[in-house]
Amino acid sequence: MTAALENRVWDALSRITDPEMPVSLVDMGMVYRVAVMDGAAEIDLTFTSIGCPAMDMILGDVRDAVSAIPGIDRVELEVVWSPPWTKDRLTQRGRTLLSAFGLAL
Amino acid sequence: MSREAQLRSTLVALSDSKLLLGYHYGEWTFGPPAIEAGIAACSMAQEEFGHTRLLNGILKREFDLEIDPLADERPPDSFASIAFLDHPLASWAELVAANAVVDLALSLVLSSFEGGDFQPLARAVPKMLLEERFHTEHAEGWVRVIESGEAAPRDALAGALARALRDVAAFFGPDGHDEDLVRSGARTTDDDALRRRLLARIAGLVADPAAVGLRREGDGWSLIEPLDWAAWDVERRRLSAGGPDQGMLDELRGTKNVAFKSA
Repeated sequence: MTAALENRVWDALSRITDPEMPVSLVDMGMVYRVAVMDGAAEIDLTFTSIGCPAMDMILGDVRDAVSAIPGIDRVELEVVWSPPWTKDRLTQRGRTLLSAFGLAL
Repeated sequence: MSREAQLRSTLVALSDSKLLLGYHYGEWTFGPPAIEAGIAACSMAQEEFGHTRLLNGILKREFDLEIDPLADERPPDSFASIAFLDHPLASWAELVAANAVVDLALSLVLSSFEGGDFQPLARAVPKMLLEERFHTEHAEGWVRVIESGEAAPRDALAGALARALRDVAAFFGPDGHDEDLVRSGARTTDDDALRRRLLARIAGLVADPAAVGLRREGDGWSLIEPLDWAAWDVERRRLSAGGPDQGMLDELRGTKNVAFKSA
């Protein structure tokens, strides 16, 4: 049950895009940890830049998407900076999408 | 001062200085000598404000101290910011000096927390320094460009660097003032060593160290005119009274737009 819920959380996160990039938070490599226990989802995530102006918007999107999953009644988000995000954290799918978007990687 | 009080005052000094440095980078989004320089200044402003937000989050969580820069009503003379940032930077030379000296000083202080045991900051420092690396490259590139050019801008830069170096040397404080933070494991390097590192870096960057007020001392560098520490304020980490220009603080706080804050 817990593993299934965690997979649903990852699915939900893979549908949230960075507003500045056409790539999901998961493919950006911004999600560091997902754990679900007793209906509480704990998510560690980072940002590409400490001064990201979309930080509150993205955190709100994550909270809304994960709260909507049946079986999740609490969402705890932790913004972490270690290890620091670099483009090495992009998934292959993320690299392909960003390249198609015209970004040099 | 206790370890906790020293940590708190160091974080406030970093946050206040980064807030004002971000203001000045934002100020120079317009009017730089090249459009790329305006883009770089705008980008560096975003990063400095981001770092201020992060430091203020740590101050709130770890020390129950709230200094939201947009709501903060502290008077100018309570800011613990580097004096070079007190007034609008009147020329590109001053912006480059702030970029080369002030920004580097703040990064050196941050680097001293890497490997220390104050985890809330130690964990964030690698990412902060990754962002700061580009600030240093930008500054050093501009110093070289200006130094290879005409005499008037070169002299203006030398004067600005000299003033920035004195204010930053004051920010690092007198020898030994922070040794408890190093001894207790919060920081790996003390301010005296960081100041010597900064002076050596700038002496190695400029063509004429004497023109920016530096002289050889043993195997390092020092200010030609030493600072008088009698008036040093340990909380504000500076020698001079006063503080940031009230007009700058009003702009930062959105004083003229306060009616929109509840919208």
